[in-house]
Amino acid sequence: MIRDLFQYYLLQPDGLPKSLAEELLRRYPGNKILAYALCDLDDRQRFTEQWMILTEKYLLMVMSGQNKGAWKVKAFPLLEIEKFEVFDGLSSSSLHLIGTTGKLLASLRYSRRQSRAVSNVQFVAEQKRKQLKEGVAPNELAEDLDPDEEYRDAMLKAIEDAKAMLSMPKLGVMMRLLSYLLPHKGLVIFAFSMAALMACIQLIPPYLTRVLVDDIIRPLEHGKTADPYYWLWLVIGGLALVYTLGELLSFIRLRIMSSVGEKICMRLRQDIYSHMQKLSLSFFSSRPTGTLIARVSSDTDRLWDFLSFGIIDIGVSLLQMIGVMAALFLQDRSLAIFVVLPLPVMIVMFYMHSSKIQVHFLRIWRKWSAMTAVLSDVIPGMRVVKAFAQEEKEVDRFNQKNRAVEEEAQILHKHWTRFWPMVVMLMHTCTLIVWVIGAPRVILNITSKGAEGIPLGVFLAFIGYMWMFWAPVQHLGMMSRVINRVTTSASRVFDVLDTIPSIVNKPDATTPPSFDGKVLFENVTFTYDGVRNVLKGISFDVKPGEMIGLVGTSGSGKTTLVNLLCRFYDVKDGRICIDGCDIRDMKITELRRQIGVVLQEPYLFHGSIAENIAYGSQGVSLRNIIAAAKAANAHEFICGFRDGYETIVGERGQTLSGGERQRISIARAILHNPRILVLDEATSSVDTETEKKIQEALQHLVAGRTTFAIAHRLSTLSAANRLFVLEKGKLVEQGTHAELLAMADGVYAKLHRTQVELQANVAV
Amino acid sequence: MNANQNMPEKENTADEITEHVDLFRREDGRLVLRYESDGKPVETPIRVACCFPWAHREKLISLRDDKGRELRLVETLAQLDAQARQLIMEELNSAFFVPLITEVKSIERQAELFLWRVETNAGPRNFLTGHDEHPRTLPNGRVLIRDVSNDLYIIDDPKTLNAKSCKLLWSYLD
Repeated sequence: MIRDLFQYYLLQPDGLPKSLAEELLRRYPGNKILAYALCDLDDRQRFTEQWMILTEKYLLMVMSGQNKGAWKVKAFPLLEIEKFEVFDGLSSSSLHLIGTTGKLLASLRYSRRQSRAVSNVQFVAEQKRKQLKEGVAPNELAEDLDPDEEYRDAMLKAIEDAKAMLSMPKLGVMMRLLSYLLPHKGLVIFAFSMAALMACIQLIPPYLTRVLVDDIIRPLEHGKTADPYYWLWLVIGGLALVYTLGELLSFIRLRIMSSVGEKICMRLRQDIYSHMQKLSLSFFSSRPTGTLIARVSSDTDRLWDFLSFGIIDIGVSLLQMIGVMAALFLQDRSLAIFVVLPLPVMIVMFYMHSSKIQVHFLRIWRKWSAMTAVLSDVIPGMRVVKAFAQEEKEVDRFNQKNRAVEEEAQILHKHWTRFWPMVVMLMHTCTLIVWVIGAPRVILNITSKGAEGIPLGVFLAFIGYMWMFWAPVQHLGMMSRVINRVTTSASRVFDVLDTIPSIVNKPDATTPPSFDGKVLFENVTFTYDGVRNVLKGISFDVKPGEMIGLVGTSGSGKTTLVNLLCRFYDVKDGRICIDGCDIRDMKITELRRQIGVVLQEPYLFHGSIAENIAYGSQGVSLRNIIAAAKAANAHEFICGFRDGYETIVGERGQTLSGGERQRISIARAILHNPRILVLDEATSSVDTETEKKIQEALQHLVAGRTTFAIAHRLSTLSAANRLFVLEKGKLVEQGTHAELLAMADGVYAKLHRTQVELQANVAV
Repeated sequence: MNANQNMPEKENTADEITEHVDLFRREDGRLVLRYESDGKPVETPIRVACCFPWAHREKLISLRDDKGRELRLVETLAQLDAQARQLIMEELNSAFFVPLITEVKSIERQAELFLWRVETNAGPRNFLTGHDEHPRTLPNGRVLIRDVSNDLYIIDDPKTLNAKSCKLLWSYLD
C-alpha cells in the first residue's frame, strides 16, 4: 500500500532497499540505522538515487552502482564532521558536509520534496555527534525514532496534507450523499413511486391514440363502429384524466423532493459548520478562508439541485427507458430494433461530449476564479488604488479577466450548440428510417385489408413511443455532467467532515470548579513536527494571582507555551496542572472558559460594541458591560460615538483605531472574568500614549488573576511579579526584574541592555 | 503583471559594471568574494541571489554574505571576466535549478488534485499539484508549475512539446 503511494506519487522507493540495509549491517556491525533520506539529484542535475544514512557513528552516502544490487558507499565518521551547511535554491537545496579540517567532505543535492527527510537526518546527526562528543543524551531529540517511519512520514506529509482536501472514489462519495436521504426515506420512496407511476401513466396516451385510430376511426370507414362519439369522448376523457393525474403526481413529487433537498442541504451546512468549530487551529491556518466559506455555502447549494431532482430523475429516466422500450417491442418488434440500434452510438457520443465539455467547464471555472481573484484582491485595497489613482487601470485589469471568461464561455456554447443538433439529427434519421420502413407496411396493411403489415394505429402509437424514448436518453446524457459537478462539491464538503479534531475530550473528562489559579508545568516537552522539540523539559510553579512575564527572542517558545496552557495543542511529555489537576482531564470548553486571552491583533466581530464586549459571557447586564469598559479605559471614547455602545463595528472593526480595538478586547476579557489570563503582546501595535492607557486597563484586568504576559518591550512587563526567560525552548532564567539584571552575563540582562541602547538611540 | 514594464528605465551604469569581481572557491566549497573594505583586504563567503530568476537569469545578480547583506550587485554576467562568470554560473545552476518538462505523459485528476507524470531534462518525475495551484504563464511565455511540496517545474514553450503533451496541457493553461 505504502509502496504503491511512493511509486504513484513520488516515483521513488518507499524506504531503504532491504539489500542495502543488510549490507550496511555487515559492513558496519553494531551500527544501527537511525535515520535516512534520499538525495535525488546528482551533480549534473539529473534525478538519481543517492541515500544519506545516519548510523550510530557514521554518516553514509550510498550511490547505486552500475549493476543492480551493487552499492558505492562513502562513510564519514560523525566526529570528523564539523558542521552541516544548507543552501536553499529555487526548487532544490544542497547540503554541505564540512569536515573538522574545514574541507568540504561532500555535497548532497536534493529537490524540495526531500528536504523534510534530509533535515530530519541532519538534525538527528547533529544531536548524535553532540552525544558522542559530550557523552550525554541530548533532550532535544525525540526518543525511539523508527527510521522507516520517519522517512515515510516526512515524504508523504505534503501529499497527505494536500489529500486532506481530496476524497474517496466517486462512488463512495455518491453512496455517502445518498445516505443523507435515509432519514427521509419514507418521503423519498413515496416521491419516487409517484415519479415511477407518472412514468407508467405517460405510456398510456400513445396507446389511446392507437385505440382511437384502429378501434374507432378506421372501423368507422367500414361503418363498423356503433356510437362513435361515445367512444371518442371516452378516449379524449381518458387522455384528459391521464394528463391531470400526471400533473398531480409531478406536483407532489416536486414539492416533496425540493423540501427534502433543502432539508438535507441545511443539515449538511449545519454539520459542516459545527464540525469546523471543533477543529483545531492548525486546520484553519492551512486553508484559505475563501475555500472554506465556499464549502459551507456554494458547495452545499450545488447539492440541492441534485438531491431534489437529479437522483429521482436518473431513476425515473432509466425506468422510462425500459418501459418505453418494452412498449416499443410490444407494438412492433422489427421496427423497435431501429429505434434501439443507435442507442450505443449515442452513449458513446454523450460520453465523448461530456468529457470534452468537462475540460471547458474546468477552463471556465479557472477563468472565473481569476476574475473573482481580482475582486478579492482589489476591494480590500481600495485605498491604495485611489491613492495611486489607478481606478482606470484596475477596471482594465478586471475587464481583461472578464473578457477571458466570456471568450471561454463562447467556446463552450459553440461546442454544445453544435452537439445537440447532431443528437437530434441522429434521432430524426432514426425517425425517418422508421417511416421509410413502417409507412409502406401501413399501406400494405390497408391494401391487403389487414392481412399483412402494420395497422395505422399501431404505427402512430409506435411513433409516439419513439419520441418518448428519446427524452430520457437526452436526460441521462445531460446528467453525466451534473454528476461530475456534484461529486466534486460533495467531496469538498465531506473532506471537512472527515477531518478529525486533534484535541478531544477524554471520555471521563470533568468539569473543574472555579480555579484558584495555581499553575504547574512539570517537565513539559512539545514538538510540532515529531522530531524537533520546541519546548524542552520546562518546569515551573506559579502561585494564584501571580503575574508572570515571558521573555525571549522570537522562536524561543513563548507563544507555544501559552498555546499549551490553553490546550490548543497537547503536550508530548510531562504535564500541565491547574490547581493540581491535569488540564487533559478537564473538559476543553470548561478549561477555556476560565482562561482569558488578549491577543496582539484583537478581533472584533460584526455587531455593536456592546455585543463585542459581551462576547463569551452570558446574561450580562448593561451596567456590567459599562463597568468592564470603564475598567478597560474604553468607556470614554465609546460614549464619544454618536451611537454609543450600539455603534456597529465593521467586519474587521475598521471604524476603530488599533488602540480602541485593543481596549474593547480588554473589556471583553474583564467581563469574561477568567481566573487565568494570557496577554500575547497586547500592547505592541500601538503608540506610546495609547499604550499607557492600555497599560492602565491591563492593570485592572490583571488584578487578582494568574497572568502570563508575553512582550517584546521589556518595559511593559514592569508590573510582573516574576519573569521567565526562554531560550531555544528552555527555561533559562527566572526571577524578578532586579534579580535578573543582577546577573550581568544573563540572557535577560543582555536583552535589556540592547533595548535600552535602542531607546537611547531613538531619543537622540 | 509584467514586472519589466513597471520597472523604471535603467540608467547607464557602465562605470559600475566594468568593476572587477574577484571570486574564488574555497576548500569548504564556498564561493568567496575578495574585496577591500576600509583599505583592508577582506574575504567573505557569499551566496548568490537572482533578482529576476524567471525573466532575466543572467542579469542583476546579487552577491550577499550569510547574513543577507548585499556586497555587490552584478548588472549582467556577460560583462564579467570568464573565471568569475564561470563561478557565478556554477552557483546559479545549482541554486536555481528547476527541471524542464520535455513531455507530459498524463495528468490525472483526483477530485481537486492533479497527478502529473512527466519527462524532464533531469529524468522522469511524478508530482501532485493542489487544486488552487495551476500552471502559471510567465510574462515571457514560459509556464511555471508548483507542486504540493513546493518543487517547481518549468515548460519553456508549451507549443514545442509533442502533440499529446500539448493536448493534455491545453486545458490547464490560460
